[in-house]
Amino acid sequence: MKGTGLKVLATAALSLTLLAGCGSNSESDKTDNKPSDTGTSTDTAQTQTADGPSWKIDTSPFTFSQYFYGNWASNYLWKDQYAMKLATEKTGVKIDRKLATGNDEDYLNTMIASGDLPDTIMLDWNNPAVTKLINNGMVYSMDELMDKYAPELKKMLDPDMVKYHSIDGKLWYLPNNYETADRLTSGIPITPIRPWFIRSDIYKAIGSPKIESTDDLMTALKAAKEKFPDVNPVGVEFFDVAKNGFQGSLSMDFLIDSFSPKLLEEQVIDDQQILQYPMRNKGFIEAFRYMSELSRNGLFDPQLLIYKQEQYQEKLYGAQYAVASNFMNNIYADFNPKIESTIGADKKYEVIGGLKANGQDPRYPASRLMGWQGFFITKAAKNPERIIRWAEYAWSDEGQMDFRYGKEGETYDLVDGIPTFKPEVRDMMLKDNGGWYAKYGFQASTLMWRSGKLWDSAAARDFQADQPEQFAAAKLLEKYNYDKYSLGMDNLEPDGSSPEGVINAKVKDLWNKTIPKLILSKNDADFDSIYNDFVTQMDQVGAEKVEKVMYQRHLADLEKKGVK
Amino acid sequence: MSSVPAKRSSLGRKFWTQRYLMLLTLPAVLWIIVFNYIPMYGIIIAFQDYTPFHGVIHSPWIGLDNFRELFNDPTFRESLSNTLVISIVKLVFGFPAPIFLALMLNELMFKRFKRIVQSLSYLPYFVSWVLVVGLMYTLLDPETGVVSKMLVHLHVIGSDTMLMGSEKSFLTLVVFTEIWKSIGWNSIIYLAAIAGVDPQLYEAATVDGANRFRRVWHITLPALKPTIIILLILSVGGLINSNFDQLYLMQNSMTQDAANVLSVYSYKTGLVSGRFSYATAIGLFQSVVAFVLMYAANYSSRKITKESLF
Amino acid sequence: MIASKSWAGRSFDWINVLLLLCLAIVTLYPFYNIVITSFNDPTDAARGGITFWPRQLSIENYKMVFRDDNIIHAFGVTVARTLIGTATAVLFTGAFAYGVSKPELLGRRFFLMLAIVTMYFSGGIIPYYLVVAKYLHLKGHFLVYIIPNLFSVFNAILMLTFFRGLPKEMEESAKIDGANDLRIFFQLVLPVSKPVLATIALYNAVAHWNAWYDAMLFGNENLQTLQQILMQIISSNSNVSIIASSLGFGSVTAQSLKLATMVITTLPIVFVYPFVQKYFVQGVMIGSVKG
Repeated sequence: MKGTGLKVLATAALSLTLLAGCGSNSESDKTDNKPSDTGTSTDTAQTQTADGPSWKIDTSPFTFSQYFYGNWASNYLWKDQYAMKLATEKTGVKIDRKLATGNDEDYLNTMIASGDLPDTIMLDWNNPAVTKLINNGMVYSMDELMDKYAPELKKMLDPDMVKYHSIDGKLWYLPNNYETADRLTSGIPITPIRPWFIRSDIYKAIGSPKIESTDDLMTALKAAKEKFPDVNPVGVEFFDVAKNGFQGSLSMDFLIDSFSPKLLEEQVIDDQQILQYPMRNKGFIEAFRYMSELSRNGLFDPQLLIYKQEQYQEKLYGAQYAVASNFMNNIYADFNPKIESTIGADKKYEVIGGLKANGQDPRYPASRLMGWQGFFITKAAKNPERIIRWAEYAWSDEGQMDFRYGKEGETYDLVDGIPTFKPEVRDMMLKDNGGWYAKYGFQASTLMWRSGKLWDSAAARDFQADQPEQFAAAKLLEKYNYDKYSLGMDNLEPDGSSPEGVINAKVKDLWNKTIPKLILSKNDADFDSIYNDFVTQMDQVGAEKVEKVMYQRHLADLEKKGVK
Repeated sequence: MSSVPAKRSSLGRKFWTQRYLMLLTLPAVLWIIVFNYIPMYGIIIAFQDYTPFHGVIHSPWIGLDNFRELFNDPTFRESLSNTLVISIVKLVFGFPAPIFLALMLNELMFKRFKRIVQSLSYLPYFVSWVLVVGLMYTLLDPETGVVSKMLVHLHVIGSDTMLMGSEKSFLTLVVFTEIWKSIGWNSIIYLAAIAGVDPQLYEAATVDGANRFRRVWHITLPALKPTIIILLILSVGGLINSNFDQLYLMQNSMTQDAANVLSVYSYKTGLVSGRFSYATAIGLFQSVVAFVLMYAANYSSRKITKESLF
Repeated sequence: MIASKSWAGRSFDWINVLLLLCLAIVTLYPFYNIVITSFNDPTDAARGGITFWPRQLSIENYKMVFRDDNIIHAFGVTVARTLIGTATAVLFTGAFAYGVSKPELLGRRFFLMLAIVTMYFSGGIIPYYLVVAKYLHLKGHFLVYIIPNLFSVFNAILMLTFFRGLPKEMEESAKIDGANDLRIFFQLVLPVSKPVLATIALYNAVAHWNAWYDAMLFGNENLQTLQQILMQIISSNSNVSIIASSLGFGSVTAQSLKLATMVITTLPIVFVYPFVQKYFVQGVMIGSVKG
């Protein structure tokens, strides 16, 4: 029984990705992408005071352990890479970084429950376990340690960040990848949705028509089906409401944001003090009706409704869809290169611009990252003093440059005041990325990404140079972005163990079942009756209670962000 | 008055004569206590409103509230009946399958062929469910799947049937893949039991003119009987459990209701929604039912066949 | 088996052969397909249609798996735990099974009940973890693979069933000759129980070979097992492909890597079976008892 129990948890957990709430796409995109380039510029000046940095006080050899939440991150392990050696040379510190095998959630929860913690933890700041760590008194507050040992670090931190991330008036972790408001307008363009792409050869064969509206897309797909009867017209990512949120498939955002460009604003109904489920929104449902029309025209393979991620991915590697959707960086950094090397460059995918629906432009709710992972110092740490001082190093401009570029003159030069890798380093990065990681370990040592003008402009420049196609695609879609930060739509769903959380889970279950029925409906009347049934059932299980809670959480989010 | 010490000393004497037998048995008993019984305090969170923050010791007690909610929870009732239906069908078809395989293998004349088949039949046991389910998607694809095409050709299904997305075919697929995966592996224990049969018995039976089916009926099957009965008793206890990996992976938005069995439900409430107490209550319910079923099976077996587990 | 000469008997033989042949194909083919697909160029394989042999032979998947230099060490750890773990578990569980197979054993039903209850009730992973790591201090020690796996109720029951079926006369005569229970168990019972011991050993070996969860919870760098490393490689489903690219294995996909890891972990243990099989030769037990 015990054996099976273990296996059950473990195996199941493998296929379980983190529950992505309805407003957290940019976060999950980021996790997929391994945040390597976050180009943001801040104006926070980072200067050392006359006292000198605290980390220079003691540079004797010292090792601390660290658990990194993310079992995929084998690149981040400390061996004797260049960047790691550089950090150790300066500070004397080495990190014994550990990863979980299998499911991180299990590993983390077992550690917490047994009180068996490493010195430090890197954990997504919005993971539920964060509350446990803090409430159980298992971690130091950063304020406490900074006040005592590293006052300089405290001065370096962005006050907005401190406000947003403080819990009960204290900062408990240092968030990496916290981006400032400028993120949306400068640096690398954000693509907050999974765009849809069309296979180049098919697009040419049907005469490269303009695809600017949902109707254009339908016409193009019909043409594609006629010319290429063997190719599946449309490919979208797997459907699973529990994992992906109410849009069902992450690819649906592209349509939803066309059919319902003001979805987020419309969900908030202040006079009733509720925040509606998106399923009550007309435009949101129209996006599903559009899918149903695709299906009725034979343009949508119903298998996609039951595929898991693997099945869809495999077909996409084989370029088996005329129009397909995926995370932008995956298409340009993974699928296209693979397709080019095995099937042919002409079968690569190119992006479709934003689609108008009913004459309206789409709007993509973009948001800067509020941070990816928090750096926690646990009470099990043998020497928190050294660790917080080391964090000061990591956070400093010097630490950031060491972490990203290494030593000036040795691995990089300043060109027009912007860091640029030496040709041999850059060559290796582009040609033998694996070897490059193993040798240099840049972007893998301290993992304390923070915004800074110097490296952010370098990242933007390099992205444009290295990934011209993706850069152009992102630019094309960027004009539809708007900042959703001040709408207060983050972390809306109630906690799963609360009574409203239970209702919410039921609503999700119902909606999950309803999506395939809607898409496979035979005609509009059929569609409407399925939809009305769903709304009735949703009300029966008590959806309104959740909508009230979501409204309160919405207010709390606004409050936390200091809006209003 | 005098009988008590006498009894005790006779007990002591009995223990002393069994000291070597005890030496063999007691280490495992100690092991069981340490590794199974000490951790069992974890069960009490089923009677608590457990939060990891308060821990097992400080979480508030709520008595049987979880169980009350459980029995009023329509999803729970649905998953209970799904579990039982799937398990019973699996038992009816899946339990005899490896016995037949063992018997068939035993009747093979070509020793080399026998060995090869035996080795091949247990290969699927090593293929993880993730890969099996992936393979099912490929083979049952309405457009490209070989098996799907064959079934369409034989008019078993319509040409646009999505087998993986149909509640009707769900049970069949679950049972079929389960048998496919485990038949060879499960037949091993029966082959081991058959290996214990004295060949002279067969020779004698042949001399008496018994044909093959009589030999199987009168010699091989009786030799397998204890093993069959013990495994059957254990399987009856297992009726309340289902293969989590298989069903969780075969679940999708169109088979969501059919695949909702207790273990999947408990996983979703526990790990996904963080309702640890409720999930533990589901688990405890399963344990109690399983134990009672097993006990009942053991009792009836003792009455009917004289064979039993304990 | 004595071949029957009758027509019915012969046709039965052929039907039997035919059915088993079908079974062999049905069980072998998917496995075979996984093997050849894992040796095909991964991205090419994603196009589908690989049926009998690889279309573009490639060992990219395997290169990616074996790039990890810890894998040889992990292989050693796994072999060690499989060999030691299997031998100790068979003896430990067997000893218990033999004890409770004796009707005269004091507390026999109680012991058996104690064991059987644990098949159905468990306290969950966290209390278990605390016992192993905090109270027994087994964390980070090789013995953590051995001791918590010494006993299995299910295996005990299978052996118990077998021991019960042994002829009583053999042991009785040994007792009269003055042998104690220890000697009888080791010198008489174990040798005649080869088929069941082989089976249980196989069960244990496979379980040890496939185990990785305990390695994750209780192991450390020096105790990494093969399965653990492979799980690590494939567990990050959606990122595998990007990581593969970043490591210079451009064409590896999540799916192809899964296939290759399955082949790597399965093949060694699959080859154990023929060794076990030889103990299934008919009559091993009774023959030796009488002889």
